[in-house]
This record gives sequence, structure tokens and C-alpha cells, in this order.
Amino acid sequence: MGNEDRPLLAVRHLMKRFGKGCATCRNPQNLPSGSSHCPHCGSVLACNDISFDLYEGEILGIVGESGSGKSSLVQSLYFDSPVTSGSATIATYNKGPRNIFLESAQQKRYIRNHLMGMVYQNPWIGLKMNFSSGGNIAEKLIAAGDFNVRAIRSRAADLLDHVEIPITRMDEAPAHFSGGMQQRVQISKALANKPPILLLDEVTTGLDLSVQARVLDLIRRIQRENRTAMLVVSHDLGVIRMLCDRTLVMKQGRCIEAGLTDQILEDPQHTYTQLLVHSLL
Amino acid sequence: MEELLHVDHLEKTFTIHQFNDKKITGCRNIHFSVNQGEFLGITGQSGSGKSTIIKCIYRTYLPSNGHIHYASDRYGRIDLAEASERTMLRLRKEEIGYVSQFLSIMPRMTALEFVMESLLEMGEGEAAARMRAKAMLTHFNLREVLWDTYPKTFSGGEKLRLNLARAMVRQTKLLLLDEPTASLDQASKASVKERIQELKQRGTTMIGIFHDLDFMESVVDRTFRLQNGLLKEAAQ
Ligand SMILES: Nc1ncnc2c1ncn2[C@@H]1O[C@H](COP(=O)(O)OP(=O)(O)OP(=O)(O)O)[C@@H](O)[C@H]1O
Ligand SMILES: Nc1ncnc2c1ncn2[C@@H]1O[C@H](COP(=O)(O)OP(=O)(O)O)[C@@H](O)[C@H]1O
Ligand SMILES: [Mg+2]
Ligand SMILES: [Mg+2]
Ligand SMILES: [Zn+2]
Repeated sequence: MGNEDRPLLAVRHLMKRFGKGCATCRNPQNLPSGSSHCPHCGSVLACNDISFDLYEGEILGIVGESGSGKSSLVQSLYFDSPVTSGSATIATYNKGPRNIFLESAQQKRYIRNHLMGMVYQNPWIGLKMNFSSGGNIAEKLIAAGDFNVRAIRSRAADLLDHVEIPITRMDEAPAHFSGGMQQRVQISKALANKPPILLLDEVTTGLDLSVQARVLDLIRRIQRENRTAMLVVSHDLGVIRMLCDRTLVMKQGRCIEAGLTDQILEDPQHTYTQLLVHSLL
Repeated sequence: MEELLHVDHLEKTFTIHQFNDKKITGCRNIHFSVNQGEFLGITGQSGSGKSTIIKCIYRTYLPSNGHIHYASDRYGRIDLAEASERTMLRLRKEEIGYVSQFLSIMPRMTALEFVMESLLEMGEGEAAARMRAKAMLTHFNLREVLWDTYPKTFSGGEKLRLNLARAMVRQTKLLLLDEPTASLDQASKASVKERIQELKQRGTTMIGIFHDLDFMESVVDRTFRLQNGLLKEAAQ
């Protein structure tokens, strides 16, 4: 029992504001309804009171229109930029159930290097484009405390092989790769430290269908083999339907609906979800 | 006989916000129960709410009112109308199978993988899953050249047979079938019937929606008819 019923990652009341904020928008209730922009100071409330649980082996979907705060959410969880308020706890974090946003920079680095992997919507953020592909992966392995050069090289080769990048191209820079290959290098980098939590931001967007199929297949295999928990952000309801058991719908920084994925798609409750589903299916 | 499912006052109303919160009744005042090992058939006009009932049981639809008491192996007696999402997911993986009327096939997986997945989810090993999946595709006469291709381009009947293979390759406690024989030829219908009988012999309880009354009568134990919003047991 135990592990199955305890969320691996529990996020509560996460707020992420871009901009200084002012007396008006510090209380989000004052924002005009249906907007995440403060009319007084121009700040953006990219994530407004987001709470959810992610369980081991689960793929949780996040959908929403452009600008609804999806990337801001996953980047906050990966400590790319500080949250405004709110908490997140990781059940297997060895320091216990503490709010990881309040941990020291050193501990955050530990969490990032050992407990999480991230694939960015934009591979130019996730990869050093002029490093070799193997070097990109090595960087993550070294960050996770691995210093044996030979072991690193062979693990990098395994990881690239796993995502079907020919080992002969290991020393090439991802700048020369196609979009699909870049995403696969990002995935292998994210997997390098065998993280229990994987954050995937639009991994298949912009790839052609056959390449998408392989990336999706890879994601499902990782879920099955390693019981990795994943947060999958996507515009594509086909991807969400295929990968995710449960889905969260975001609009203007808020979570407006959450449920079983087939229920969200076939019996959406919220006005916006009904529009989204009917326009995208 | 022991009751497996007891549906009580089930009601589903859809609210379409885009059209001034227009209300559409899916079904209402639905009562029935199914015993362990029984096969219950449901008939009724198009639009009378048959699929709605099945989808409420599977929780693809959120019931608006009423109860769906189910005797689970894992959880004991439980109301599916208000079970948590995690509980429903667990039950779908372990106890409750479903074949939908319209095929929401996942287009980005090969046919063989699609059938295998339902076994892998239940914890079966890769090799055994592959073998059983192939046997089931063969049983439903899906041509071997199609096994390693994406179902997106399959014909309607091929998609349905694939869906049937996926749902029927494993033995669940409860199996929900929404028009499992629509658009199938006689030979395929015979395959479905054969598999239904096998599953029934091994104790699977089933609820099936049918338009093909001859077929239905050859497999079910009891029949209900949905008429003017009421579900009534038909005379034997
Ligand atoms: N670094 C930043 N500085 C200022 N505003 C930002 C910054 N990053 C994001 N935002 C704003 O926060 C809001 C949410 O952006 P985010 O990138 O999270 O959206 P998204 O849901 O990922 O959209 P898309 O689907 O287009 O990727 C937007 O209004 C965006 O302009
Ligand atoms: N997801 C839905 N959204 C809105 N209305 C629906 C939905 N599903 C079913 N309905 C409506 O509910 C009624 C019953 O439909 P359904 O259960 O599919 O009928 P049957 O399966 O008996 O043909 C119909 O009027 C149908 O239009
Ligand atoms: Mg984004
Ligand atoms: Mg129907
Ligand atoms: Zn402000």
C-alpha cells in the first residue's frame, strides 16, 4: 500500500507572478475576471493558486490555451525562476515533507539533479546547442555526482541509444539535428539521472506525425519501465488522450477543471473546457 | 445469486454553456441490478440514453444524480457515482472493461501494441502479452499485415474488432459493451459471440447495448428496454 496512495509530488496554492505586483494584484481576487494581467502595474499572474497531486507512475496532463501559464508552472517546479508563493512537497525527498520552494539553493540543486528531469518546450533552452549531444548528457550526469569519464560516456551512449539517436552522432552538436532529434536528446538528458519525476513541456509540438509517434512511444515505455511520474503539458488533445489518465485544464493562470481525461474530453463541465474540446477535437 | 451492480435513481443531465446553459437529458430515473456472472442486454431507440448509462458506470460521464453501487474485489461495495478518480482508474485497470460505440482509438500506437497494452497494464509480462494479443487479433480475424500499423486508417469494422480484441483479451470482472456488433459481418459476429461465451463461462459479468436483437437474445440472460426515459425489464 503506502506508496500507491501517497502523492509523490503535492503542489498547493502555487502562485507565480511576473512583475513587481501592486496593492491591487497582490490579492488576485482583485484582477478583472478572466484575466491574468494587472491593469494597474502590468504584472502577469502566470500561475494563480494551482494545486494538484502527482502519483508514482502516473502521467498527468496539463492543457490550456497559449499564455495560460503551463510553461510557467513546470518551470517554477524546476526552480528556473522563484515562485511568488505556495508550496510543493516530494514524498521521497530525503529531508522529509518540506516545502521545496523554501529550501536552500544547494538543496534545490540537489532536487533538480536527483529527483527531476525537464524537457523544455524550446530545445534551445534545454540544450547547449553547440556542445556535443553526449556532452549535454554528461553535464547532467556530472551534476548528479558522477565523475567517472568512461562510465559517463557509456551511460550517455546507452541513453542516446534508448531514444534511437545513432551512437555515431554522439559527438555532434544538437544544433545540427532535426527538431525531433533535439527533443529526443533533451529526453535522454532528462532521463540521465533516473529521476522519479519528469516534466515534459510540449515535447511533440512541431514534430511530424511519425516522429511524434516515436517520442510518444518512448514516453510510454519510460512510464512502464521506470514507473516515472510525469507532468505532460500539451496543446494537442490527441497526445493528452493517449498519454494521460488524468488532466488539468488551465486558463489565465487558473486551474478551471480537473478530472479523468476521457471525462474532460467527453463530458467537460466548464464553459471554457467545452469550447476547447469542441474546437480541438 | 450475488448482486454485482445496483444502479439506483441514476440521472445524467448535460449543461451546454455555449447555448445559454441549455440542458439535455441523457438519462433519468434509471434503476436496475445485475448479478454476478449475468449478461444484461439493453435495447432502445437511438438517443434514448443507453450509451449514457454505460458511460456513467465507466465514469466517462459524471453522473448528475443517483448511485451506482458496485461490489469491487479491491474496495468492497463502492458507489461508482462518487468514487475518486484514482479509484476509478484502478478499477478500470483491474476490474472493469469497456468497448465504446464510437472508436476513440489512439492513433499513435500500432494495433498489436494497443492490444498488448491492456495486458501490460494488468501486470502481465511483455512476452506473454505479445502472445496473447496476437492470439486475440487472430481470433477477431484482423489481418496480420495490419498488426504493426497504426489503426488510424483502419476501416470501421477493423477498428471495432481491434477495440473488441483489446477489451476481451483480458478477463475483467465486469465488461461494458456499447453496440459491439454494429457494422460487423456474420463471421466477425460469430467470433464476438464465441469470446463472450468464453468470458461468461469464466465468470465475467456483462452489460451490453444492442440493436441486433437476434444476436442479443443468443447471448444475454435478461433484457431491459429503454423507452420514454424509463428502463423496463422485457418479458422473457
Ligand atoms: N519571463 C517572463 N517575464 C514576463 N512574463 C512572462 C515570462 N514568462 C512568461 N510570462 C507570461 O506569463 C504568462 C504565461 O506564460 P507561459 O509561457 O507559462 O504560457 P504557456 O501556457 O506555456 O503558453 P504556450 O502554450 O504558448 O507555451 C504569459 O502571459 C506570458 O507572457
Ligand atoms: N456528451 C454529451 N453531451 C451532450 N449531450 C449528450 C452527450 N452524450 C449524450 N448526449 C445526449 O443524451 C441523449 C442520450 O444519448 P445516448 O446515451 O448516446 O443515446 P443512445 O446510446 O441510446 O443512442 C441524447 O439526446 C444525446 O444527444
Ligand atoms: Mg508554454
Ligand atoms: Mg449509443
Ligand atoms: Zn498590480
